[in-house]
Amino acid sequence: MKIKTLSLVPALMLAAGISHSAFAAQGVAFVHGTGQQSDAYNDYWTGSFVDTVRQGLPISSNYTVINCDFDQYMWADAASGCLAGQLTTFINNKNITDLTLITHSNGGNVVRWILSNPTWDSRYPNIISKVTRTIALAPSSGGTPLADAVIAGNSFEQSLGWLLGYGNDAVKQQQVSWMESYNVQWLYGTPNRPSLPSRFETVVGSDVESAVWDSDSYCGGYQNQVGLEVTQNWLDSCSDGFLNCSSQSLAGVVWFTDKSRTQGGEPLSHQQSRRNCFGLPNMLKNRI
Amino acid sequence: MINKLTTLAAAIVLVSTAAKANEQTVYQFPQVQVASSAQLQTLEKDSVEYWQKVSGKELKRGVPIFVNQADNFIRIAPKARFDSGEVFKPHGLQLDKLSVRDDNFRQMPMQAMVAQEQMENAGFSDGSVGLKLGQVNGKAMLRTSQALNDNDTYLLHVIEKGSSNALHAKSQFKVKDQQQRVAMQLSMGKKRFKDSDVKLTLSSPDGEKLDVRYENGEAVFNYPLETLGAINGYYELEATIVTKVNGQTVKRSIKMPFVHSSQTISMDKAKVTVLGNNKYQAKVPVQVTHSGRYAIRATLTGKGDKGERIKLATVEVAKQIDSYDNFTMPFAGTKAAKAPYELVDIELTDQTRMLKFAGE
Repeated sequence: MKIKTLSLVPALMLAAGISHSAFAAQGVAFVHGTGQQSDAYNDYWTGSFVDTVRQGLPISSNYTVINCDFDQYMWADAASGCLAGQLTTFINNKNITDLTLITHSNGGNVVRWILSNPTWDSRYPNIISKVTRTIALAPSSGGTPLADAVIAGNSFEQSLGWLLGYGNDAVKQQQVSWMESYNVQWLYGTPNRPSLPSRFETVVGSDVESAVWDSDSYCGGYQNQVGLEVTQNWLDSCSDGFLNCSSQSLAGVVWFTDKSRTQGGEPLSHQQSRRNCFGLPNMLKNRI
Repeated sequence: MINKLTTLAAAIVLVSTAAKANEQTVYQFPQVQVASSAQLQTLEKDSVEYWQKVSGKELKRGVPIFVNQADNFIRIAPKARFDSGEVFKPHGLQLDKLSVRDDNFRQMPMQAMVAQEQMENAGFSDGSVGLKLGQVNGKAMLRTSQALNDNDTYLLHVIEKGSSNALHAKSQFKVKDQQQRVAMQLSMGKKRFKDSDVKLTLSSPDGEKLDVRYENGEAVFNYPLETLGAINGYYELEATIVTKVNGQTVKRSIKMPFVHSSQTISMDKAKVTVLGNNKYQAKVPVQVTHSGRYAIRATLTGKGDKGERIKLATVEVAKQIDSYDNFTMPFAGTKAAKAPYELVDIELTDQTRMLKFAGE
């Protein structure tokens, strides 16, 4: 039985005279959001973000950047199954004993799926025992009305979704009422639900600056900022342009809301919370 | 040192082999878990939006749009269609060909027009364009002078953010096997709707449209639902209403998900064995109606010195089950307790179909 395997390992190590600290290793994994990634290091996070954050590790090479298909439902083998596979390989190859996960957007949901459903996959218990903290950047814990809007009226097209751009299973999953159902029955860490087995702390993006004359608007790519005049039709006044603050702070505990800690008190749009903007990577570096 | 490591590795391999033979995945929570909340019975939602399908022919002739406040946004998107076994997507809409006219055919001013690229930046990658009306009187007609194919279809999607005329829906979330009615109450403030006011559609998790009608606050269909569980997504009821509020026409759409559920696993009373050193093993006989991977989560309790019931540990176990079987749950407590031992806060999960059930 898995639990016995896990509990026997320290005993065997002690019996063999090997101290736990000889094997202790801290690692960090970067878990992307919705989308199918093959080079998330460059395409999703950018090297400057990852390379700054990992400097906070005792051994800076103990990091991995996850590349999975998060266009699927969070429980799908291509999503959480893929994540479990890559985390297991990383844990085994680097003998990781203390793992911090840094997630963005829907990546937080995929991680919560693993942490909340420990027997869904035989690889999960070992991962859960190694994860000591998740830092969830703008997690879509409560879904987003924008997912509802993208799906609205397009139920037929969703079955063809990935071909035609009408959304996909991950977008369906992030509809507000769908996430409500998952939070009540399948995921931990939201109010009146069991707590997650390790700390899940969130960074909340509360606003978007898209002024042409403000250079801060250009961090992370200006074109990504200008959708706001459309998305604000569906979102609250406190949002990062994709997610309401209430969704981002629904699960776990809030580490900080952007303006309270960023350089210049700048807000973090949904794109900027995964980029090297306003000192965010340095804050993560000092946190891990 | 090398010898010690070899011995260690061999021991781990032996234990792992035993684990594989057992087939169970076992997890003991670091702390005793609180009981999961009650099963989700209903969902509630508000909508200040509506959406409808229009043809290219209708768009060229003019389609009424129901907008009653200055804060509005209209999205128009090409929709896919099947023709001779192939999927076609119509040409994108040209913003400069779109216009909105009032009932006297006067052009109404646009406050903003949003091109495809901007819509894509906002997450609408389906070829949508958008516009905002600057002046509203509830009697607007949207039309295009673009040469669209008559048979092509488009989605018209209107939102009035902050509108006081929100459609409220409260619907049943868990629909039992063989049940052919789903409770769905619709209201707008104190206003209730007649059956004939409600246009209803039902989609299966794979997007298939199913016949359905609205009757006395329920969605009614005359066939058994086929897909069990949430593994492929939810069934969805979509209601659209058109009503008058203070003389103005208000149109709203709302979509409510539900899961088709059947009790695929049932359990008998657990037998708890004391192994010593605060370790216990519970055997739980179960029976399933569909083969698949199932899980049980439960907290073991025993009696304290003063006879009070104390919670010792929470464990979850999963395995493949085809008909009758047992879950073997190993509990490692941190404090001593006396008999009688009992499992509480039991939750059964059908992991193959994604269904949750309360245990006995």
